[in-house]
Amino acid sequence: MSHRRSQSIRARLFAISLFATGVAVLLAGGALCLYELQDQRAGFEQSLRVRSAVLGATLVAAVEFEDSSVALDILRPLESDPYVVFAAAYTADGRRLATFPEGATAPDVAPELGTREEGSVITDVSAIDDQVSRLPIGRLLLVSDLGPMYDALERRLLTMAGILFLSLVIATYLGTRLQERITQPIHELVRAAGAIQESQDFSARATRMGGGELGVLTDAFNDMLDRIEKSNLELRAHRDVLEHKVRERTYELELALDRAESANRAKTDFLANMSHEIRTPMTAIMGYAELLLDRDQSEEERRNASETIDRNSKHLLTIINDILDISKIEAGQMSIERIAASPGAIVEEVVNLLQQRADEKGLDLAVEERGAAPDRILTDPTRLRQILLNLTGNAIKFTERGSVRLVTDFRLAPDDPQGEGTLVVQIIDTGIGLTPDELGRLFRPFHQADETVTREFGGTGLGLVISRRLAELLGGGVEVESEKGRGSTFTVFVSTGRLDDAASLTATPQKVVHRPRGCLEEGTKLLLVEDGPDNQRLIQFVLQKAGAQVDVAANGQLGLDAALAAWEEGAPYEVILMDMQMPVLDGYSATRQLREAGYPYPIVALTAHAFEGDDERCREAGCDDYATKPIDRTDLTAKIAFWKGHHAVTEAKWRLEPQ
Amino acid sequence: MDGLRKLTIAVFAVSAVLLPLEASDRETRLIPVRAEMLTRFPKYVEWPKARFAKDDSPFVIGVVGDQPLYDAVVAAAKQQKGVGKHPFSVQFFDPPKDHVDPKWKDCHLLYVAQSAKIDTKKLSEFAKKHHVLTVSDADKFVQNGGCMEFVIVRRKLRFRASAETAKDSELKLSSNLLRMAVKDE
Repeated sequence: MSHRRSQSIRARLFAISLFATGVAVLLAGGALCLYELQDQRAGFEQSLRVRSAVLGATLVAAVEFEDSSVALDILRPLESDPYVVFAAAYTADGRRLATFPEGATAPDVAPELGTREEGSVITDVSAIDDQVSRLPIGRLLLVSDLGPMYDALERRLLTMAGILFLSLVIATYLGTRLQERITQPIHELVRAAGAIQESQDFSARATRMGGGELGVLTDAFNDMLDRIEKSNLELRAHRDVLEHKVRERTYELELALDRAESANRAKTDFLANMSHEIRTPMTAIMGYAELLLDRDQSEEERRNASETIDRNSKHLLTIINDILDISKIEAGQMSIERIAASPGAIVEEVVNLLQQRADEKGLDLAVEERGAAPDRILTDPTRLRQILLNLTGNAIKFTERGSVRLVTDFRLAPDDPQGEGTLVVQIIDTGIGLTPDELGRLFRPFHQADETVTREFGGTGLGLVISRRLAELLGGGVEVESEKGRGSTFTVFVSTGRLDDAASLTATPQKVVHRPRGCLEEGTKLLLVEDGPDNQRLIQFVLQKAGAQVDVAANGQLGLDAALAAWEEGAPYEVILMDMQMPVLDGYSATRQLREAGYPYPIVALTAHAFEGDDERCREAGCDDYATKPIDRTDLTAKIAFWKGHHAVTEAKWRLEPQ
Repeated sequence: MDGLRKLTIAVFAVSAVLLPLEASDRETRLIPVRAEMLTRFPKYVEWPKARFAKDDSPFVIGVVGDQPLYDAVVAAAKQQKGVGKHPFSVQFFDPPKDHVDPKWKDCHLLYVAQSAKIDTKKLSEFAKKHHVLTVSDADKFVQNGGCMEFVIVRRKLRFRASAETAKDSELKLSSNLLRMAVKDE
């Protein structure tokens, strides 16, 4: 390749310069020689003519007077002529008068006039004319030899050939040197291009050698390399960015996959746990139910069995409720309403519901109101109640002696007294407390402080999780402080919603309120509207046990009639318990008709709480509260105790539309 | 004419080589040569134009005191015919008593023989006045004021010439002629 390259440019340039120089020198030299030859020849002829004429004129007298010595004298200057071989003067009658140089072999008789040329020898015979008459009186013979001229020309040609050779050598040398100035930048370009092709390194550059077009070409080449390098760098940078992105995405995908797998695992664990949690009480219920059916069992054994069944079914219900709640929360389907509610009333209700359990354990259950609290806040009373019931229930569960206190407080928004404030409820117990490690695991689903806790205290471990999530949904959260063996403090924060003038603050801190123990007043007049005979019997039995006087209506229409009749008679039912799903006239329609009739007394709905928005529908129909089936004795009696004596009309005043 | 001339020259040449000559013989032998020379001199001399009345006026050669030479000149003049368009006219004069003959003023060239014993100075004055080329065979003729003088050098007839004297007579001698003249060192 190198050979071809040098052949293509160097050799070609060399040949061109050599050819051009050679042709120029040859042409110039040849032309010069030819011209010189002609010029010399013409000059010679000219000088020959002049010489003949001058000699002839000078020789006239010598020939006339036939004075050979004078003639010789006249011819003598020819000595200095390089071409004249000899000369001779002849008289009119053809005799030779004088010959120069003496002794030359000139013809004795005058030759014919004219010029003859033999080789390099030129013989010229001219007439010598009489000065006056112009008639010929003699002849002059001049024999010249142009040999010296030709010799000189030959020497000149040789010199020229020498010069030609020398100039070729010089031209070659100069051409090589000059051509290097042209070929070197090209070679440099070729070298750079080859190096780049081999190494793929676009940071290499061709060295600029001299200016002119090749300099510009080199610059353009380097400029092109600049651009290629730049775009390469950009490509590389782009590729790096892409790789980085791919890595990031891969990482994110792995993370997401991990999360998905973890969530999947959690769900599997959850299902396994649930399965276990549900089967355990179910097994107990089924086993003891069989025992009850065995007639051979003693009264003591039957009672034990009944109590076990009761305990386990309650536990099972809690589990199912909790599962439903957590599922809804996790699925984002837990709907939260914001209606006006009295935080004091909710706390009171919670205490009423749990009073019995506290009493059973001999604990002091107290409510403390710290600082000013609004009469009404905008929140979801059902969920708030659920949170407080859960946490307070837990506190009672894990406290063996001492007290459980509910401390309510209220914090205004720092910069806007009319803005959203925060309701703070602290549940302070003197129970077993938690270690920091246990605190860390506290809010994870199905994690209780210890595996053994479940066995000892029961519970699903979902309560705290649900409480915290609900508190978060209500615009707050749950915090916990605890010291092992000294007790725990769970603090619930709930947003109050925007406060208006109607929600005036209760300025005076209330004293500790002790609730009466949770039975109904003897002879409390109740109407139970319920179509199922089993439920009729069960609820009637429960309420009568609590001290109430219970009338039963089998459907909505009968219940409506009975309620209106009692109201007209001036002895209204203090609380009506209204089942919602009934033949003839359902609970919704009966309640609505009662309210339309202006019936002012509390109505508590009994609902399976199976459908979303059930509670809302109940309220819309005119119910003041609701109890969920299967009914909890304590819960139901607490609700009845709460509502007894309240006038629904008064309660209705509280109702504010959700903002 | 050519043949005669050749013959004459051949005769002279043969006699010069073969005959042991006396001085007088030599003189005799040289007469035609002198005549020849006299008729040829005019070609190499320029006279004032006024010396010729017309373009074809004769060129007058006067010979004083030498009859044989006169005859020879007449013969030579016949051969030469003239100078350019001027025909030759040869006249013979006897030596005058008072050295100068007023008739000579018509002559363009005047040959004065030594034997005529003419006073050269007087002749010179006359020649100056009338633009006459004076020629003689007298000794020291040129030295004494003549224009040209025949001499014999190595047995060969030659001549002396004075361009200055000729110039005094308003005559111009050509360089070719002067080159032929004998130079006294």
